[in-house]
Amino acid sequence: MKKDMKKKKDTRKITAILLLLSFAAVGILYAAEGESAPSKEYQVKAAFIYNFIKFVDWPEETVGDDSARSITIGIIGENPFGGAFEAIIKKKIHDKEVVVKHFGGFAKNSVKYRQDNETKYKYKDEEALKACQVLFVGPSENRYCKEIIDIIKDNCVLTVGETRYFLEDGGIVGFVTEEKKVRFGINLIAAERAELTIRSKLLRLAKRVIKQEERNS
Amino acid sequence: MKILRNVRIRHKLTLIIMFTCICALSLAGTALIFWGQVAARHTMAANLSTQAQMIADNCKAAVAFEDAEDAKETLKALGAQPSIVLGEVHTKSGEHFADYSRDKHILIEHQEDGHSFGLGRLMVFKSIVLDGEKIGTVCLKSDLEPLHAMLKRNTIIIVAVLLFASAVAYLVSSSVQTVISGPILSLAGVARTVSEQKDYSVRVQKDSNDEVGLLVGAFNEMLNQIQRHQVALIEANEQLEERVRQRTAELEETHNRLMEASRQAGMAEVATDVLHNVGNVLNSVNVATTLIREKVSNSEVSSLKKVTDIVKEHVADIGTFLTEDEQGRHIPLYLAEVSKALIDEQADNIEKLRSLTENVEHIKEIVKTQQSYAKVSGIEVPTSLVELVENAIQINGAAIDRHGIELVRDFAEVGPISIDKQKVLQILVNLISNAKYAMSRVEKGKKLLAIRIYKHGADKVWIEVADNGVGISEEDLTKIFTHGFTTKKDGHGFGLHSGALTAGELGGSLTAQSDGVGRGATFTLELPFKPVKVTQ
Repeated sequence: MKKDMKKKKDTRKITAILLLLSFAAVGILYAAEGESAPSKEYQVKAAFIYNFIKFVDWPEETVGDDSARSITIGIIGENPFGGAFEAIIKKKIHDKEVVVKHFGGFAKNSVKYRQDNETKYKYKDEEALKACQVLFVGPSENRYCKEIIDIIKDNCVLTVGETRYFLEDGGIVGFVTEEKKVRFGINLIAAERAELTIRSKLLRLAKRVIKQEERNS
Repeated sequence: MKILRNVRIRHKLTLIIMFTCICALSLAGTALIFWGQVAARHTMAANLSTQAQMIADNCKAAVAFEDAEDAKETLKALGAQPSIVLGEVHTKSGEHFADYSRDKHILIEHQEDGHSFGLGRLMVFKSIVLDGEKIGTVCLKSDLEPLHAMLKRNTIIIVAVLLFASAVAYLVSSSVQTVISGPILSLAGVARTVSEQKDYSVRVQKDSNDEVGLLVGAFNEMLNQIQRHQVALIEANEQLEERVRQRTAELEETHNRLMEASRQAGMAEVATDVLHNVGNVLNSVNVATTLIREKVSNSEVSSLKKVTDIVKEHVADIGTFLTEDEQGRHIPLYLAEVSKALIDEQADNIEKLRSLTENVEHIKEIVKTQQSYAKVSGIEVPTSLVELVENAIQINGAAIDRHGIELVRDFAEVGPISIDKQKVLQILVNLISNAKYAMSRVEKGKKLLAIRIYKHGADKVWIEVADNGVGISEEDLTKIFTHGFTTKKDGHGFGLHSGALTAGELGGSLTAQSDGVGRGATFTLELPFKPVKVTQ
């Protein structure tokens, strides 16, 4: 009887310890999550950006030494995604690693200059910026969208932004929100200029597509 | 198969061919339908899988970018196919994403990739894969209406083909079966002709070299043989008849000869017995004559001559001589004695001669009896049976006396009957002679021969000759009357055989009875009782 009692006590102890441990684990996880918890919207947008890669073809020759092994997603300005990308980019796309690269804000890292009566900007990390396959213009850079696009518009970079006139500014994919759902528009002319092929499946989903004809008319 | 027993071979063949055709066709048809269904199921599953694959492909972007409206749009394309009742897109986690439904919507439980046939439905699940990553699942549900329609159509076609093929098979088999049934029928026809008309000259036309041809050949050969045999048989029959006629004639002749021989033999036997008796009597006659001759030659007559010679010498002085002479004085006395002796001698001779005459008379009597029988052979004359039996005994008399056989006579008063007495005598002499022979081993003085005459019934007379001799074994009783059967060393097996025959000729019979070997035998001669009408 005594032995049984003792045994019972032991079991209770273990249970208590286990309970405490699990509480602790939950607490830690919750804390970690809270640390970089992105909004639902940016989680979706991160997934969209990641998925865009699958529906866009880059020209063969641009696949350089570095980009041959990886696909770089550049984020200029403040990072609104938190850890959202980290969860996704573990997987390869087209057998290539996906790398997320952060670039500093445009205002702080560019020099304004005039050339041929035009005001131009020189970004500090311009070459790295041009080497990206995807560039997301963060919400903090909304004011400089056009400027940023101007720098890289002749390079094979899929520009993604979320300003209202992002497409008009020469951006290729612009996020819009319809009925609380994230949707997007595509500027095909810009895509052609960047020598990017947008697959029809993606085009079909676009709520707005700027094409050659539309512009003409 | 029993019901087919009375069906004609023509119809049987047609039936067999048709049955085979229908069986084969039915089997083939069933197999076709079955494989058709299996193939159709495969095809249907494959088609639906392809459809699902296409939907999955088209929904890829929609799922990736969470555009349910677009997915729904894609699913609407399913409306082109009426059999598909339900289409759904599930997300990676199995949640419902978009759907298409023909009538009412039932949520499908998420499943792994592949297809499954259920009760009246086919379900297909297909993963939506984006760049090697599963991002959702397409699920299609189809009813099996196409399969059922196909089954129905195939069945109708097969049945129609079966009916048509049966009709064609009937027509074809009706004409083709004659190849086999034709020769058989002609064979059967010829066989019927042969059996009904016994005409073995017909032949079956042989027009094939198969087994039926062989049969026809064998049948014809059989007919050949039968015909040959029949001819041979008829010839043999005719020859046989001829031979039988010849043999019958020969037999009749032999029979007649035998009859004659037996009759003569019977007569010879009687004659032998007669001569035997005559010989015995002649012996007595001989003895008597010898005695007489001796008596006569030793007669006292010579003494008388001596006396007469002496008297002659003394003729001159006869007186003196008779009175004076010594010798002469004895003469009268001597003469008296001689004459007395002569008288005695005469008496003796007379006595002997009388006996001799008696014996001669006896011979005469025997011969006369024999003559009287020999004369009357073949003619029925009124006869006293007792006299007849006595005659028979008399013929055997010497032998009976010599063997010391005690004779018992038991003669009923029957009266004279009309019969061929020569023949009856012959039988009786033979029977007595046999009895005498049968008793030759029996001790002298114990031999017993009983002869009985009595009436049997109204129209039969029985004469029984019974002895206590060796008897007859049961085995021999049956063949005792057959020709050639004898137990005597020098016998020829005639006696009883001809006796039985003769009895038959007389309208009677001869039978034998014996209690076995050593127990004697009784022969019974049965004669018709034909009393002589007294004409007075």
